[in-house]
Amino acid sequence: MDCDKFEVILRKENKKIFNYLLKHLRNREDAEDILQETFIAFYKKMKNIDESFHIAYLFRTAHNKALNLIKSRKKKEKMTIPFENMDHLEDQHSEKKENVIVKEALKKLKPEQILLIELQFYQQMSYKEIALVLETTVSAVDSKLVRAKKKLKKIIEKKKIVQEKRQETVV
Amino acid sequence: MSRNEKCNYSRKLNAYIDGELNEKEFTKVRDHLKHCHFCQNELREINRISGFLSQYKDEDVPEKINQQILDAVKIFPKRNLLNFLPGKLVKLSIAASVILAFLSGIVLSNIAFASTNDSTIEFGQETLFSMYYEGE
Repeated sequence: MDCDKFEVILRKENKKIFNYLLKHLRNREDAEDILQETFIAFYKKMKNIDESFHIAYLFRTAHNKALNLIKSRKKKEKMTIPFENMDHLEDQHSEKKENVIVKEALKKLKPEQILLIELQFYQQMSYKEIALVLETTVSAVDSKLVRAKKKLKKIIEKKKIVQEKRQETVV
Repeated sequence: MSRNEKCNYSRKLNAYIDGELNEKEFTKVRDHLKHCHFCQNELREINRISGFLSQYKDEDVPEKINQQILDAVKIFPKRNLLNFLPGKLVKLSIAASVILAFLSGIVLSNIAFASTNDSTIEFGQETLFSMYYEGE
């Protein structure tokens, strides 16, 4: 009974969580691992979570697990080759060019800002729903979103300048 | 308002685009946009960011991952029965069993200590007596 209900939720929400994790972690294997961990954690608590809170719980869990992974990566990074370099090796050859550009820009944002953009822009959640995920107020969501988009705008502008310079040198 | 002069209404533009303003505020911002160049420019920038973000194409979850998750939760109740019990109940029962083990340890050690002391005296006495008689 529980498994059937769980499968319905899994198939309905998995794509949202997976694509958020792809943007956040920029590594397919890690995104798949965290996706599994998130849904298994959700299954354990499913009985105690109100249906209206399912998606908020999934995003919050995925976000926290991704943050923990990034922290452990940073620890390892000190001992091995820099993560930035690994990024290029793992992802860019197999991924669509547009996705790489968006991810490159998003990775300059803070983890919470990535989640905000994901929830508001890609998931089309209302500020009230986002506030539920982030455990904050609607007005805080509003101001944080403004800041996140401003930062994103600056990043895009920088990228544009870099691209223009590259084109100039090619010409 | 000129293009470079900052406008207080610009703070509301995100909420305006995201449909988060009430009807009254929405109308106010919409009317304001008709004559404010700064806000018109800001709105264009916000739309540009949205256009940029919409370039990202969602990817499907590989079916093998779904299957792995489903397989994991199917065997989960058998392996981790404790997790299905309410957390507080599990914690309380663990605490109770630790206290019980501690108390029974004290009681048992007291009994053991008392009986050991008695036997030592008896043994000592017997030995002394036997030594005394043997020596005699």
